[in-house]
Amino acid sequence: MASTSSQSAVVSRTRLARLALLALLLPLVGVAALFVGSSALAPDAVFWSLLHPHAAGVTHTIVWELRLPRVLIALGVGAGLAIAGALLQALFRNPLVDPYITGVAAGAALAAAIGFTLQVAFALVPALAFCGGLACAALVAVIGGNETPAGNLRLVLAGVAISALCSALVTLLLLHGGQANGMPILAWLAGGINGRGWIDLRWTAGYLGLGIASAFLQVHAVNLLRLGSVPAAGFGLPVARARFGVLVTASLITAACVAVSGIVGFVGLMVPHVVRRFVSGDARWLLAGSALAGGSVIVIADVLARSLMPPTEIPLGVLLALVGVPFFLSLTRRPVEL
Amino acid sequence: MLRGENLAVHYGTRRIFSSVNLGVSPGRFIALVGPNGSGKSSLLRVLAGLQKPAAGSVVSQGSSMLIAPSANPPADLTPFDLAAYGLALRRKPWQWGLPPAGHARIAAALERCSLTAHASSCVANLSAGEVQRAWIAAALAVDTDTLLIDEPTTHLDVRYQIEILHTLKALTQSGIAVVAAMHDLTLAARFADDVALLADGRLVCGSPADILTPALLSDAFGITVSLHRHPEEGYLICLPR
Repeated sequence: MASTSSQSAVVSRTRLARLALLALLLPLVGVAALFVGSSALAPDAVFWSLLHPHAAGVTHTIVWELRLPRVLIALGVGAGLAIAGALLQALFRNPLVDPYITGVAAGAALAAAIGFTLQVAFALVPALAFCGGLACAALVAVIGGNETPAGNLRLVLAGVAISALCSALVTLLLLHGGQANGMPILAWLAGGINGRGWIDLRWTAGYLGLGIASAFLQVHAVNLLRLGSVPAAGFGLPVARARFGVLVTASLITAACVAVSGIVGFVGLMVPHVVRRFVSGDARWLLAGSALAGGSVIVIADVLARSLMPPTEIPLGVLLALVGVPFFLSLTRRPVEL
Repeated sequence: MLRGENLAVHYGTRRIFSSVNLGVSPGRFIALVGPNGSGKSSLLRVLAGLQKPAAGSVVSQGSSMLIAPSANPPADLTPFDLAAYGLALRRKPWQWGLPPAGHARIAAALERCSLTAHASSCVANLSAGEVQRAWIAAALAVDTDTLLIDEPTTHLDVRYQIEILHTLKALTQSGIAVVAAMHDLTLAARFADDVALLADGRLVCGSPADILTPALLSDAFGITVSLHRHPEEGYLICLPR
Protein backbone atom coordinates (compact mmCIF):
# COMPACT_ATOMS: atom_id res chain seq x y z
CA MET A 1 0.00 0.00 0.00
CA ALA A 2 2.79 2.37 0.97
CA SER A 3 4.70 1.57 -2.19
CA THR A 4 1.55 2.02 -4.30
CA SER A 5 0.89 5.40 -2.77
CA SER A 6 4.49 6.54 -3.20
CA GLN A 7 4.57 5.43 -6.86
CA SER A 8 1.27 7.23 -7.48
CA ALA A 9 2.68 10.31 -5.80
CA VAL A 10 5.75 10.25 -8.09
CA VAL A 11 3.53 9.92 -11.17
CA SER A 12 1.31 12.75 -9.96
CA ARG A 13 4.32 14.98 -9.27
CA THR A 14 5.70 14.34 -12.76
CA ARG A 15 2.35 15.17 -14.34
CA LEU A 16 2.01 18.24 -12.19
CA ALA A 17 5.50 19.44 -13.12
CA ARG A 18 4.74 19.04 -16.83
CA LEU A 19 1.38 20.75 -16.48
CA ALA A 20 3.13 23.57 -14.61
CA LEU A 21 5.54 23.90 -17.54
CA LEU A 22 2.60 24.33 -19.91
CA ALA A 23 0.98 26.78 -17.49
CA LEU A 24 4.20 28.79 -17.46
CA LEU A 25 4.51 28.72 -21.24
CA LEU A 26 1.03 30.16 -21.81
CA PRO A 27 1.47 33.60 -20.17
CA LEU A 28 5.02 33.85 -21.53
CA VAL A 29 3.79 33.25 -25.07
CA GLY A 30 0.78 35.50 -24.52
CA VAL A 31 2.86 38.43 -23.31
CA ALA A 32 5.55 37.90 -25.96
CA ALA A 33 2.86 38.00 -28.67
CA LEU A 34 1.96 41.54 -27.61
CA PHE A 35 5.40 42.68 -28.71
CA VAL A 36 5.16 41.25 -32.23
CA GLY A 37 3.15 42.61 -35.12
CA SER A 38 3.23 44.40 -38.45
CA SER A 39 3.91 47.70 -36.66
CA ALA A 40 7.34 47.70 -35.07
CA LEU A 41 6.81 48.99 -31.54
CA ALA A 42 9.59 49.58 -29.03
CA PRO A 43 9.39 47.02 -26.21
CA ASP A 44 9.50 49.71 -23.52
CA ALA A 45 6.58 51.52 -25.21
CA VAL A 46 4.56 48.29 -25.19
CA PHE A 47 5.39 47.79 -21.50
CA TRP A 48 4.41 51.34 -20.72
CA SER A 49 1.10 50.92 -22.55
CA LEU A 50 0.36 47.72 -20.69
CA LEU A 51 1.00 49.39 -17.36
CA HIS A 52 -1.18 52.39 -18.28
CA PRO A 53 -4.47 51.02 -19.60
CA HIS A 54 -6.16 54.43 -19.68
CA ALA A 55 -3.46 56.27 -21.61
CA ALA A 56 -3.84 57.39 -25.24
CA GLY A 57 -1.72 57.25 -28.39
CA VAL A 58 -0.95 55.00 -31.33
CA THR A 59 1.06 52.45 -29.35
CA HIS A 60 -1.67 52.24 -26.75
CA THR A 61 -4.30 51.70 -29.42
CA ILE A 62 -2.27 48.99 -31.14
CA VAL A 63 -1.55 47.17 -27.89
CA TRP A 64 -4.94 47.51 -26.20
CA GLU A 65 -7.34 47.56 -29.12
CA LEU A 66 -5.62 45.28 -31.63
CA ARG A 67 -3.03 42.99 -30.12
CA LEU A 68 -4.45 42.22 -26.65
CA PRO A 69 -7.94 41.15 -27.74
CA ARG A 70 -6.37 39.19 -30.57
CA VAL A 71 -4.04 37.34 -28.19
CA LEU A 72 -6.92 36.63 -25.82
CA ILE A 73 -9.09 35.32 -28.66
CA ALA A 74 -6.18 33.15 -29.83
CA LEU A 75 -5.82 31.75 -26.31
CA GLY A 76 -9.52 31.00 -26.08
CA VAL A 77 -9.80 29.45 -29.54
CA GLY A 78 -6.69 27.31 -29.02
CA ALA A 79 -7.80 26.14 -25.59
CA GLY A 80 -11.34 25.49 -26.81
CA LEU A 81 -10.45 23.54 -29.95
CA ALA A 82 -7.91 21.41 -28.09
CA ILE A 83 -10.43 20.59 -25.36
CA ALA A 84 -13.12 19.83 -27.95
CA GLY A 85 -10.68 17.50 -29.74
CA ALA A 86 -9.79 15.71 -26.51
CA LEU A 87 -13.49 15.29 -25.66
CA LEU A 88 -14.40 13.91 -29.08
CA GLN A 89 -11.44 11.50 -29.14
CA ALA A 90 -12.53 10.09 -25.77
CA LEU A 91 -16.20 10.03 -26.77
CA PHE A 92 -15.67 8.10 -29.98
CA ARG A 93 -12.65 6.17 -28.65
CA ASN A 94 -10.98 7.13 -31.87
CA PRO A 95 -7.64 8.94 -31.80
CA LEU A 96 -8.09 10.27 -35.33
CA VAL A 97 -11.12 12.46 -34.71
CA ASP A 98 -11.24 16.15 -33.99
CA PRO A 99 -13.93 18.84 -34.35
CA TYR A 100 -13.29 18.90 -38.11
CA ILE A 101 -13.28 15.20 -38.88
CA THR A 102 -16.49 14.67 -36.90
CA GLY A 103 -18.28 17.32 -38.97
CA VAL A 104 -18.88 19.55 -35.93
CA ALA A 105 -16.84 22.41 -37.30
CA ALA A 106 -18.24 22.14 -40.82
CA GLY A 107 -21.80 22.18 -39.49
CA ALA A 108 -20.97 25.13 -37.28
CA ALA A 109 -19.30 26.91 -40.21
CA LEU A 110 -22.32 26.37 -42.45
CA ALA A 111 -24.73 27.68 -39.82
CA ALA A 112 -22.44 30.64 -39.09
CA ALA A 113 -22.12 31.39 -42.82
CA ILE A 114 -25.92 31.39 -43.09
CA GLY A 115 -25.96 33.79 -40.13
CA PHE A 116 -23.44 36.10 -41.81
CA THR A 117 -25.36 35.97 -45.10
CA LEU A 118 -28.59 36.85 -43.36
CA GLN A 119 -26.66 39.53 -41.43
CA VAL A 120 -27.87 38.39 -38.02
CA ALA A 121 -26.31 40.05 -34.96
CA PHE A 122 -22.85 38.62 -34.20
CA ALA A 123 -24.04 37.69 -30.70
CA LEU A 124 -26.31 35.09 -32.27
CA VAL A 125 -23.72 33.62 -34.62
CA PRO A 126 -22.16 31.28 -32.01
CA ALA A 127 -25.66 30.08 -31.07
CA LEU A 128 -26.44 29.36 -34.73
CA ALA A 129 -23.05 27.70 -35.15
CA PHE A 130 -23.77 25.58 -32.07
CA CYS A 131 -27.04 24.30 -33.57
CA GLY A 132 -25.34 23.51 -36.88
CA GLY A 133 -22.36 21.83 -35.21
CA LEU A 134 -24.51 19.75 -32.88
CA ALA A 135 -26.80 18.64 -35.70
CA CYS A 136 -23.84 17.43 -37.79
CA ALA A 137 -22.15 15.82 -34.80
CA ALA A 138 -25.33 13.95 -33.89
CA LEU A 139 -25.76 12.78 -37.47
CA VAL A 140 -22.17 11.60 -37.69
CA ALA A 141 -22.49 9.88 -34.30
CA VAL A 142 -25.64 8.06 -35.41
CA ILE A 143 -23.97 6.88 -38.62
CA GLY A 144 -20.70 5.99 -36.88
CA GLY A 145 -22.66 4.31 -34.13
CA ASN A 146 -20.64 1.85 -32.16
CA GLU A 147 -17.06 1.52 -30.96
CA THR A 148 -16.04 -1.31 -33.24
CA PRO A 149 -13.28 -0.71 -35.82
CA ALA A 150 -16.00 -0.74 -38.52
CA GLY A 151 -17.99 1.84 -36.54
CA ASN A 152 -14.92 4.03 -36.18
CA LEU A 153 -14.26 3.85 -39.91
CA ARG A 154 -17.91 4.71 -40.65
CA LEU A 155 -17.61 7.61 -38.23
CA VAL A 156 -14.62 9.12 -39.99
CA LEU A 157 -16.16 8.53 -43.43
CA ALA A 158 -19.46 10.06 -42.31
CA GLY A 159 -17.61 13.05 -40.83
CA VAL A 160 -15.66 13.60 -44.04
CA ALA A 161 -18.84 13.27 -46.14
CA ILE A 162 -20.90 15.62 -43.96
CA SER A 163 -18.02 18.11 -43.91
CA ALA A 164 -17.82 18.00 -47.70
CA LEU A 165 -21.57 18.56 -47.97
CA CYS A 166 -21.41 21.53 -45.59
CA SER A 167 -18.45 23.00 -47.50
CA ALA A 168 -20.40 22.67 -50.75
CA LEU A 169 -23.37 24.45 -49.23
CA VAL A 170 -21.10 27.21 -47.91
CA THR A 171 -19.67 27.63 -51.42
CA LEU A 172 -23.21 27.96 -52.79
CA LEU A 173 -23.87 30.61 -50.16
CA LEU A 174 -20.69 32.43 -51.21
CA LEU A 175 -21.72 32.37 -54.86
CA HIS A 176 -25.21 33.49 -53.96
CA GLY A 177 -23.86 36.30 -51.80
CA GLY A 178 -21.79 37.75 -54.62
CA GLN A 179 -18.45 39.56 -54.29
CA ALA A 180 -19.58 42.02 -51.62
CA ASN A 181 -21.00 39.52 -49.15
CA GLY A 182 -18.90 36.56 -50.17
CA MET A 183 -15.40 37.90 -49.59
CA PRO A 184 -15.73 38.53 -45.85
CA ILE A 185 -17.17 35.05 -45.39
CA LEU A 186 -14.36 33.55 -47.47
CA ALA A 187 -11.74 35.36 -45.37
CA TRP A 188 -13.46 34.18 -42.21
CA LEU A 189 -13.65 30.58 -43.49
CA ALA A 190 -9.91 30.53 -44.21
CA GLY A 191 -9.46 30.70 -40.47
CA GLY A 192 -7.91 33.49 -38.56
CA ILE A 193 -8.46 36.15 -35.99
CA ASN A 194 -7.28 39.04 -38.05
CA GLY A 195 -9.37 42.11 -37.28
CA ARG A 196 -11.14 40.59 -34.29
CA GLY A 197 -11.59 42.85 -31.30
CA TRP A 198 -13.08 43.19 -27.85
CA ILE A 199 -16.63 43.00 -29.16
CA ASP A 200 -15.99 39.58 -30.77
CA LEU A 201 -14.21 38.43 -27.63
CA ARG A 202 -17.10 39.53 -25.43
CA TRP A 203 -19.72 37.65 -27.45
CA THR A 204 -17.65 34.52 -27.76
CA ALA A 205 -16.30 34.35 -24.23
CA GLY A 206 -19.67 33.48 -22.71
CA TYR A 207 -20.23 30.49 -24.99
CA LEU A 208 -16.62 29.38 -24.71
CA GLY A 209 -16.52 29.78 -20.92
CA LEU A 210 -19.73 27.81 -20.54
CA GLY A 211 -18.42 25.04 -22.78
CA ILE A 212 -15.03 24.78 -21.10
CA ALA A 213 -16.57 24.81 -17.61
CA SER A 214 -18.98 22.10 -18.71
CA ALA A 215 -16.07 20.04 -20.08
CA PHE A 216 -14.21 20.19 -16.79
CA LEU A 217 -17.36 19.16 -14.91
CA GLN A 218 -17.54 16.02 -17.04
CA VAL A 219 -14.02 14.70 -16.49
CA HIS A 220 -15.14 11.63 -14.56
CA ALA A 221 -17.60 10.67 -17.29
CA VAL A 222 -14.97 11.29 -20.00
CA ASN A 223 -12.52 9.03 -18.19
CA LEU A 224 -15.09 6.26 -18.00
CA LEU A 225 -16.03 6.69 -21.67
CA ARG A 226 -12.34 6.12 -22.47
CA LEU A 227 -12.81 2.60 -21.14
CA GLY A 228 -15.70 1.84 -23.52
CA SER A 229 -19.43 1.95 -23.03
CA VAL A 230 -19.78 -1.54 -21.48
CA PRO A 231 -17.30 -0.98 -18.63
CA ALA A 232 -18.57 2.58 -18.21
CA ALA A 233 -22.13 1.30 -17.80
CA GLY A 234 -20.85 -1.40 -15.47
CA PHE A 235 -19.39 1.26 -13.21
CA GLY A 236 -22.81 2.95 -13.16
CA LEU A 237 -22.39 5.68 -15.76
CA PRO A 238 -25.61 6.52 -17.63
CA VAL A 239 -23.75 6.10 -20.91
CA ALA A 240 -26.23 7.55 -23.40
CA ARG A 241 -26.75 10.68 -21.30
CA ALA A 242 -23.02 11.08 -20.67
CA ARG A 243 -22.17 10.68 -24.37
CA PHE A 244 -24.79 13.25 -25.32
CA GLY A 245 -23.48 15.65 -22.67
CA VAL A 246 -19.93 15.37 -24.01
CA LEU A 247 -21.12 15.80 -27.61
CA VAL A 248 -23.13 18.91 -26.71
CA THR A 249 -20.17 20.36 -24.83
CA ALA A 250 -17.71 19.70 -27.67
CA SER A 251 -20.17 21.22 -30.15
CA LEU A 252 -20.70 24.31 -28.02
CA ILE A 253 -16.96 24.92 -27.66
CA THR A 254 -16.32 24.31 -31.36
CA ALA A 255 -19.19 26.58 -32.36
CA ALA A 256 -17.84 29.42 -30.23
CA CYS A 257 -14.39 28.98 -31.78
CA VAL A 258 -15.69 28.69 -35.35
CA ALA A 259 -17.86 31.78 -34.94
CA VAL A 260 -14.89 33.91 -34.00
CA SER A 261 -12.05 32.36 -35.96
CA GLY A 262 -13.54 30.40 -38.87
CA ILE A 263 -12.00 27.07 -39.84
CA VAL A 264 -8.84 26.56 -37.78
CA GLY A 265 -8.04 22.91 -38.21
CA PHE A 266 -5.69 20.35 -36.68
CA VAL A 267 -5.31 21.97 -33.24
CA GLY A 268 -8.03 19.71 -31.91
CA LEU A 269 -6.24 16.70 -33.35
CA MET A 270 -2.61 17.48 -32.62
CA VAL A 271 -2.66 19.07 -29.19
CA PRO A 272 -4.50 16.28 -27.30
CA HIS A 273 -2.10 13.72 -28.83
CA VAL A 274 0.97 15.58 -27.69
CA VAL A 275 -0.48 16.31 -24.25
CA ARG A 276 -1.51 12.67 -23.85
CA ARG A 277 2.11 11.65 -24.34
CA PHE A 278 3.66 14.55 -22.46
CA VAL A 279 1.28 14.76 -19.46
CA SER A 280 -1.39 12.06 -19.28
CA GLY A 281 -4.42 10.60 -21.03
CA ASP A 282 -6.48 10.99 -17.84
CA ALA A 283 -9.19 13.53 -18.67
CA ARG A 284 -8.41 15.67 -15.61
CA TRP A 285 -4.86 16.23 -16.82
CA LEU A 286 -5.59 15.96 -20.51
CA LEU A 287 -8.21 18.71 -20.60
CA ALA A 288 -6.13 21.04 -18.45
CA GLY A 289 -2.97 20.34 -20.47
CA SER A 290 -4.80 20.63 -23.79
CA ALA A 291 -6.29 23.99 -22.80
CA LEU A 292 -2.87 25.37 -21.88
CA ALA A 293 -0.99 23.88 -24.83
CA GLY A 294 -3.78 24.66 -27.33
CA GLY A 295 -3.83 28.30 -26.24
CA SER A 296 -0.06 28.57 -26.65
CA VAL A 297 -0.10 26.88 -30.06
CA ILE A 298 -2.68 29.25 -31.53
CA VAL A 299 -1.00 32.33 -30.07
CA ILE A 300 2.32 31.23 -31.60
CA ALA A 301 0.63 30.33 -34.90
CA ASP A 302 -1.12 33.71 -34.98
CA VAL A 303 2.18 35.51 -34.37
CA LEU A 304 3.75 33.56 -37.24
CA ALA A 305 0.68 34.15 -39.43
CA ARG A 306 1.05 37.90 -39.12
CA SER A 307 4.83 38.13 -39.22
CA LEU A 308 6.06 35.56 -41.77
CA MET A 309 4.95 37.41 -44.94
CA PRO A 310 4.34 41.04 -43.94
CA PRO A 311 2.25 42.91 -44.80
CA THR A 312 0.17 39.88 -45.92
CA GLU A 313 -1.29 37.79 -43.13
CA ILE A 314 -1.30 34.06 -43.76
CA PRO A 315 -4.71 32.70 -42.75
CA LEU A 316 -4.32 30.81 -39.48
CA GLY A 317 -6.14 27.79 -40.87
CA VAL A 318 -3.72 27.63 -43.78
CA LEU A 319 -0.67 27.90 -41.52
CA LEU A 320 -1.91 25.18 -39.17
CA ALA A 321 -2.79 22.89 -42.08
CA LEU A 322 0.82 23.18 -43.27
CA VAL A 323 1.98 21.82 -39.91
CA GLY A 324 -1.07 19.67 -39.21
CA VAL A 325 -1.20 17.56 -42.35
CA PRO A 326 2.30 16.08 -41.88
CA PHE A 327 1.40 15.46 -38.23
CA PHE A 328 -1.84 13.73 -39.21
CA LEU A 329 0.00 11.56 -41.72
CA SER A 330 2.67 10.69 -39.14
CA LEU A 331 -0.10 9.39 -36.87
CA THR A 332 -0.90 6.74 -39.41
CA ARG A 333 2.64 5.39 -39.18
CA ARG A 334 2.71 4.59 -35.47
CA PRO A 335 0.35 3.19 -32.89
CA VAL A 336 -1.68 5.87 -31.19
CA GLU A 337 -3.26 5.55 -27.80
CA LEU A 338 -6.33 7.12 -26.37
CA MET B 1 -28.93 -11.68 -5.68
CA LEU B 2 -29.68 -11.56 -9.38
CA ARG B 3 -32.50 -13.37 -11.17
CA GLY B 4 -33.47 -13.47 -14.82
CA GLU B 5 -37.05 -14.59 -15.40
CA ASN B 6 -38.48 -15.84 -18.68
CA LEU B 7 -35.81 -14.02 -20.65
CA ALA B 8 -35.86 -13.96 -24.41
CA VAL B 9 -33.48 -12.36 -26.88
CA HIS B 10 -34.16 -11.96 -30.59
CA TYR B 11 -32.04 -10.30 -33.24
CA GLY B 12 -34.48 -9.32 -35.95
CA THR B 13 -36.39 -12.44 -36.80
CA ARG B 14 -33.68 -14.68 -35.39
CA ARG B 15 -34.60 -16.09 -32.01
CA ILE B 16 -31.50 -16.59 -29.86
CA PHE B 17 -33.15 -17.94 -26.72
CA SER B 18 -36.44 -17.76 -24.90
CA SER B 19 -38.00 -18.71 -21.55
CA VAL B 20 -34.62 -18.58 -19.87
CA ASN B 21 -34.61 -18.54 -16.08
CA LEU B 22 -31.40 -18.13 -14.14
CA GLY B 23 -31.00 -17.31 -10.45
CA VAL B 24 -27.63 -16.19 -9.11
CA SER B 25 -27.27 -16.45 -5.33
CA PRO B 26 -24.50 -14.77 -3.32
CA GLY B 27 -21.32 -16.80 -3.16
CA ARG B 28 -22.18 -19.05 -6.12
CA PHE B 29 -19.95 -19.60 -9.15
CA ILE B 30 -22.02 -20.34 -12.23
CA ALA B 31 -20.29 -21.41 -15.43
CA LEU B 32 -22.35 -20.48 -18.48
CA VAL B 33 -21.48 -22.89 -21.28
CA GLY B 34 -22.84 -23.52 -24.74
CA PRO B 35 -21.92 -23.49 -28.40
CA ASN B 36 -20.81 -20.35 -30.20
CA GLY B 37 -23.80 -18.19 -31.08
CA SER B 38 -26.03 -19.75 -28.43
CA GLY B 39 -26.45 -16.37 -26.74
CA LYS B 40 -24.09 -16.58 -23.75
CA SER B 41 -22.78 -13.03 -24.23
CA SER B 42 -26.29 -11.73 -24.90
CA LEU B 43 -27.55 -13.35 -21.70
CA LEU B 44 -24.72 -11.75 -19.72
CA ARG B 45 -25.52 -8.36 -21.24
CA VAL B 46 -29.20 -8.77 -20.38
CA LEU B 47 -28.36 -9.79 -16.81
CA ALA B 48 -26.05 -6.76 -16.54
CA GLY B 49 -28.86 -4.47 -17.66
CA LEU B 50 -26.96 -3.44 -20.79
CA GLN B 51 -29.37 -5.04 -23.24
CA LYS B 52 -33.14 -5.01 -23.14
CA PRO B 53 -34.57 -8.52 -23.46
CA ALA B 54 -37.33 -9.18 -26.00
CA ALA B 55 -39.28 -10.69 -23.13
CA GLY B 56 -38.85 -11.33 -19.42
CA SER B 57 -37.23 -9.32 -16.69
CA VAL B 58 -34.16 -9.15 -14.51
CA VAL B 59 -34.62 -8.76 -10.78
CA SER B 60 -31.53 -7.51 -9.01
CA GLN B 61 -30.78 -6.89 -5.38
CA GLY B 62 -27.31 -5.41 -5.29
CA SER B 63 -25.02 -4.38 -8.11
CA SER B 64 -23.61 -6.34 -10.99
CA MET B 65 -20.88 -5.64 -13.48
CA LEU B 66 -20.08 -7.16 -16.85
CA ILE B 67 -16.44 -7.66 -17.77
CA ALA B 68 -15.97 -8.40 -21.46
CA PRO B 69 -12.82 -9.92 -22.96
CA SER B 70 -12.60 -7.22 -25.61
CA ALA B 71 -12.40 -4.51 -22.96
CA ASN B 72 -8.81 -3.40 -23.28
CA PRO B 73 -8.23 -0.40 -21.06
CA PRO B 74 -6.10 2.45 -22.47
CA ALA B 75 -2.45 1.42 -22.29
CA ASP B 76 -1.36 4.26 -20.01
CA LEU B 77 -3.79 3.33 -17.26
CA THR B 78 -2.72 1.44 -14.16
CA PRO B 79 -4.90 -1.03 -12.23
CA PHE B 80 -5.14 1.66 -9.57
CA ASP B 81 -6.41 4.24 -12.11
CA LEU B 82 -8.95 1.78 -13.44
CA ALA B 83 -10.46 1.28 -10.01
CA ALA B 84 -10.24 5.01 -9.28
CA TYR B 85 -12.24 5.79 -12.44
CA GLY B 86 -15.07 3.60 -11.20
CA LEU B 87 -15.03 5.22 -7.77
CA ALA B 88 -14.92 8.72 -9.27
CA LEU B 89 -18.62 8.55 -10.13
CA ARG B 90 -19.39 8.65 -6.43
CA ARG B 91 -17.79 12.08 -6.13
CA LYS B 92 -19.06 15.48 -7.18
CA PRO B 93 -17.82 16.52 -10.63
CA TRP B 94 -15.56 19.15 -9.12
CA GLN B 95 -13.98 16.70 -6.64
CA TRP B 96 -11.12 15.52 -8.79
CA GLY B 97 -8.94 13.82 -6.22
CA LEU B 98 -9.51 10.47 -4.56
CA PRO B 99 -10.23 10.71 -0.81
CA PRO B 100 -8.10 8.55 1.57
CA ALA B 101 -11.00 6.12 2.04
CA GLY B 102 -11.00 5.57 -1.72
CA HIS B 103 -7.26 4.80 -1.68
CA ALA B 104 -7.79 2.22 1.06
CA ARG B 105 -10.74 0.66 -0.76
CA ILE B 106 -8.76 0.31 -4.00
CA ALA B 107 -5.71 -1.06 -2.18
CA ALA B 108 -7.92 -3.71 -0.55
CA ALA B 109 -9.50 -4.66 -3.90
CA LEU B 110 -6.07 -4.94 -5.57
CA GLU B 111 -4.86 -7.06 -2.68
CA ARG B 112 -7.79 -9.46 -3.11
CA CYS B 113 -6.83 -9.87 -6.75
CA SER B 114 -3.10 -10.26 -5.96
CA LEU B 115 -2.31 -7.09 -7.88
CA THR B 116 -0.74 -4.97 -5.17
CA ALA B 117 2.72 -5.26 -6.74
CA HIS B 118 1.36 -4.08 -10.10
CA ALA B 119 -0.94 -1.36 -8.82
CA SER B 120 1.07 1.39 -10.51
CA SER B 121 2.20 -0.50 -13.61
CA CYS B 122 0.76 0.63 -16.90
CA VAL B 123 -1.70 -1.81 -18.43
CA ALA B 124 0.62 -2.04 -21.46
CA ASN B 125 3.19 -3.76 -19.22
CA LEU B 126 0.75 -6.26 -17.71
CA SER B 127 -0.11 -9.76 -18.89
CA ALA B 128 -3.60 -10.51 -20.18
CA GLY B 129 -4.35 -12.32 -16.92
CA GLU B 130 -3.27 -9.33 -14.86
CA VAL B 131 -5.45 -7.05 -16.97
CA GLN B 132 -8.41 -9.38 -16.32
CA ARG B 133 -7.66 -9.20 -12.60
CA ALA B 134 -7.39 -5.40 -12.83
CA TRP B 135 -10.95 -5.27 -14.18
CA ILE B 136 -12.11 -7.57 -11.40
CA ALA B 137 -10.35 -5.42 -8.78
CA ALA B 138 -12.01 -2.32 -10.23
CA ALA B 139 -15.38 -4.05 -9.94
CA LEU B 140 -14.65 -5.04 -6.34
CA ALA B 141 -13.64 -1.48 -5.46
CA VAL B 142 -17.13 -0.30 -6.34
CA ASP B 143 -18.71 -3.07 -4.21
CA THR B 144 -20.01 -5.18 -7.06
CA ASP B 145 -22.10 -8.08 -5.73
CA THR B 146 -22.27 -10.10 -8.93
CA LEU B 147 -19.45 -10.38 -11.46
CA LEU B 148 -20.60 -11.28 -14.94
CA ILE B 149 -17.53 -12.28 -16.92
CA ASP B 150 -17.54 -13.10 -20.58
CA GLU B 151 -14.84 -15.67 -21.29
CA PRO B 152 -12.45 -14.92 -18.41
CA THR B 153 -9.85 -17.38 -19.72
CA THR B 154 -9.77 -16.20 -23.33
CA HIS B 155 -6.28 -15.27 -24.56
CA LEU B 156 -4.72 -16.68 -21.38
CA ASP B 157 -2.20 -19.49 -21.20
CA VAL B 158 -3.01 -22.44 -18.93
CA ARG B 159 -1.25 -20.95 -15.91
CA TYR B 160 -3.18 -17.69 -16.09
CA GLN B 161 -6.42 -19.55 -16.82
CA ILE B 162 -6.06 -21.44 -13.55
CA GLU B 163 -4.95 -18.30 -11.71
CA ILE B 164 -7.93 -16.20 -12.79
CA LEU B 165 -10.37 -18.98 -11.94
CA HIS B 166 -8.79 -19.43 -8.50
CA THR B 167 -9.18 -15.67 -8.00
CA LEU B 168 -12.86 -15.84 -8.94
CA LYS B 169 -13.42 -18.90 -6.76
CA ALA B 170 -11.80 -17.16 -3.80
CA LEU B 171 -14.10 -14.18 -4.31
CA THR B 172 -17.19 -16.37 -4.14
CA GLN B 173 -16.05 -17.47 -0.70
CA SER B 174 -16.52 -13.89 0.47
CA GLY B 175 -20.10 -13.81 -0.82
CA ILE B 176 -19.57 -12.42 -4.32
CA ALA B 177 -21.50 -14.21 -7.04
CA VAL B 178 -19.78 -15.03 -10.32
CA VAL B 179 -21.35 -15.90 -13.66
CA ALA B 180 -18.65 -16.73 -16.19
CA ALA B 181 -19.28 -17.63 -19.83
CA MET B 182 -16.74 -20.37 -20.56
CA HIS B 183 -15.77 -22.71 -23.36
CA ASP B 184 -13.58 -25.14 -21.43
CA LEU B 185 -15.98 -27.66 -19.96
CA THR B 186 -13.36 -29.25 -17.70
CA LEU B 187 -12.48 -25.90 -16.13
CA ALA B 188 -16.19 -25.20 -15.75
CA ALA B 189 -16.68 -28.54 -13.98
CA ARG B 190 -13.67 -27.97 -11.76
CA PHE B 191 -14.38 -24.44 -10.57
CA ALA B 192 -18.13 -23.83 -10.86
CA ASP B 193 -20.75 -24.65 -8.26
CA ASP B 194 -23.37 -24.79 -11.01
CA VAL B 195 -23.20 -25.14 -14.75
CA ALA B 196 -25.77 -23.40 -16.98
CA LEU B 197 -25.90 -24.91 -20.45
CA LEU B 198 -27.39 -22.64 -23.11
CA ALA B 199 -28.12 -24.36 -26.40
CA ASP B 200 -30.86 -24.38 -29.03
CA GLY B 201 -32.53 -21.42 -27.38
CA ARG B 202 -32.99 -23.15 -24.00
CA LEU B 203 -31.08 -23.03 -20.75
CA VAL B 204 -30.64 -25.85 -18.28
CA CYS B 205 -28.86 -25.28 -14.99
CA GLY B 206 -27.67 -27.59 -12.26
CA SER B 207 -24.63 -29.13 -10.67
CA PRO B 208 -21.74 -29.99 -13.00
CA ALA B 209 -22.56 -33.70 -12.70
CA ASP B 210 -26.20 -33.08 -13.67
CA ILE B 211 -25.49 -30.89 -16.67
CA LEU B 212 -22.22 -32.18 -18.06
CA THR B 213 -23.62 -35.48 -19.25
CA PRO B 214 -22.80 -37.17 -22.57
CA ALA B 215 -26.42 -36.84 -23.71
CA LEU B 216 -26.83 -33.12 -22.96
CA LEU B 217 -23.40 -32.25 -24.33
CA SER B 218 -23.96 -34.27 -27.46
CA ASP B 219 -27.29 -32.50 -28.06
CA ALA B 220 -25.75 -29.10 -27.40
CA PHE B 221 -22.48 -29.35 -29.31
CA GLY B 222 -23.30 -32.09 -31.83
CA ILE B 223 -20.28 -34.18 -30.92
CA THR B 224 -19.58 -37.03 -28.54
CA VAL B 225 -17.92 -36.08 -25.28
CA SER B 226 -16.40 -38.67 -23.01
CA LEU B 227 -16.44 -37.92 -19.29
CA HIS B 228 -13.91 -39.02 -16.70
CA ARG B 229 -13.25 -38.20 -13.07
CA HIS B 230 -10.00 -36.64 -11.92
CA PRO B 231 -8.35 -39.45 -9.94
CA GLU B 232 -7.42 -37.26 -6.95
CA GLU B 233 -9.74 -34.26 -6.89
CA GLY B 234 -12.80 -35.95 -8.35
CA TYR B 235 -13.96 -33.21 -10.73
CA LEU B 236 -15.26 -34.08 -14.18
CA ILE B 237 -12.90 -34.12 -17.13
CA CYS B 238 -14.67 -33.58 -20.46
CA LEU B 239 -12.88 -34.90 -23.53
CA PRO B 240 -14.46 -34.28 -26.92
CA ARG B 241 -14.05 -37.23 -29.28
